[in-house]
Amino acid sequence: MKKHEYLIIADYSQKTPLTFKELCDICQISSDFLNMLMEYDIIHPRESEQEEWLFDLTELKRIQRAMRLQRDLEVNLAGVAVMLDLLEELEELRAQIEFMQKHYL
Amino acid sequence: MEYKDYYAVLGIDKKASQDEIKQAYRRLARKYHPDVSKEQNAEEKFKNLQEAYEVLKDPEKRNAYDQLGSQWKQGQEFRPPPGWDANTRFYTTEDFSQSDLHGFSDFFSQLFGGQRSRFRGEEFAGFEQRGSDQHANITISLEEAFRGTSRTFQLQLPELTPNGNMHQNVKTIKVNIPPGAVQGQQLRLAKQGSPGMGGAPAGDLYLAIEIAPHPLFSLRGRDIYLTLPVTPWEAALGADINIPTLGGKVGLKLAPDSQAGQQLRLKGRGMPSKEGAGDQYAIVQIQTPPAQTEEQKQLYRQMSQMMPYHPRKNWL
Repeated sequence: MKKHEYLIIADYSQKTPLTFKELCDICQISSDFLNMLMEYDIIHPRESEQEEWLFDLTELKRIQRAMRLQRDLEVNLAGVAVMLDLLEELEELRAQIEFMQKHYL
Repeated sequence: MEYKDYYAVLGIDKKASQDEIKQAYRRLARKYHPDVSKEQNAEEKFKNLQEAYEVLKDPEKRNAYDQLGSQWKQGQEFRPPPGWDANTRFYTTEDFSQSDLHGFSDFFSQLFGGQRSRFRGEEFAGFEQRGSDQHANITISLEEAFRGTSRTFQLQLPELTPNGNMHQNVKTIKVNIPPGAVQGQQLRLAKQGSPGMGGAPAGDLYLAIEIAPHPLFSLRGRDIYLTLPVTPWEAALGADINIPTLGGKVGLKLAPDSQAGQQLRLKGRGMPSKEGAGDQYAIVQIQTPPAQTEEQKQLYRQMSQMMPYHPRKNWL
């Protein structure tokens, strides 16, 4: 059985930062846990003058990655923080190698 | 449905102890975890691993699994024995949220009550569960990222009707991508994922932009890079060269005595952005023309006499 829904129109120029509460709801985590992720420097709110914290979508990816590492590999949050940094560095280095091979070899 | 050999997935003996099972899981989880693994099909392998571990780590489930007998082979057509009722016996999978169980096999769902058997009827009345998030990638070319583009596509999303049936819901989505998209850029369409249950909100739909590799250009941040091959005489004497950019050809002055590896900047010719466009860099690469004829060889010899140069003078 198939049902057709109305056309959804979306635009990438819409910036859609997330609030603290939205992040908790999406990841189904408590505010305590989210605070802890911030204490461990795993995620950061955007810099802004506003009172409310706002988070970029990239932070959501980091939380989800952190949760998977914590659950699947039994890493604690201090370890998760190190892993995320190293993984990011690894990705950057891989991109750099690809870049060097394309333009310097 | 296909029989799953969970012992083979974990690479262990049927008589393995619970400790050995845990150890095997940990070792393989490290190898295949999609967040850290570069293995082919890591995601799929890890899902299998999780499923196998979910059954074997729990003595009760393991026992039930073992009772199916040892005559089964991986991938063999399998039917649960008569009288098997997953709903009354095993259905607790607290460690995994519904979205994790998503990729578990039919074999698992049938035997241990995955989501299919759980979602039937009024079982979930009063049970609230946020709908799962859905992800889709939109692949565009670098030129499209530069100029901006739009895409219309359909997504088939499994959806649960209020009376508990699964069906495919087709959503048509038109996405406008303004000039200056970056690799991996995400767009969140709130509440356009799978619907929630028991009055809980729907999940979200995430659209990620994937910029296809370009034969000439590389994109780093907002800057564009291009290899600029030149002859030795162009590098030595300087030259006027037309450089391709995403916005069309641009004239570039190659300075005399240019060296390989130098980056020449074309300001503002990178990806557009509200914060100011990126730049384009042309990376000088000097190609040595092969000396094929006797005349050409003579010319090189003449050069070596007229312009003595010692590229290895720094060697001891």
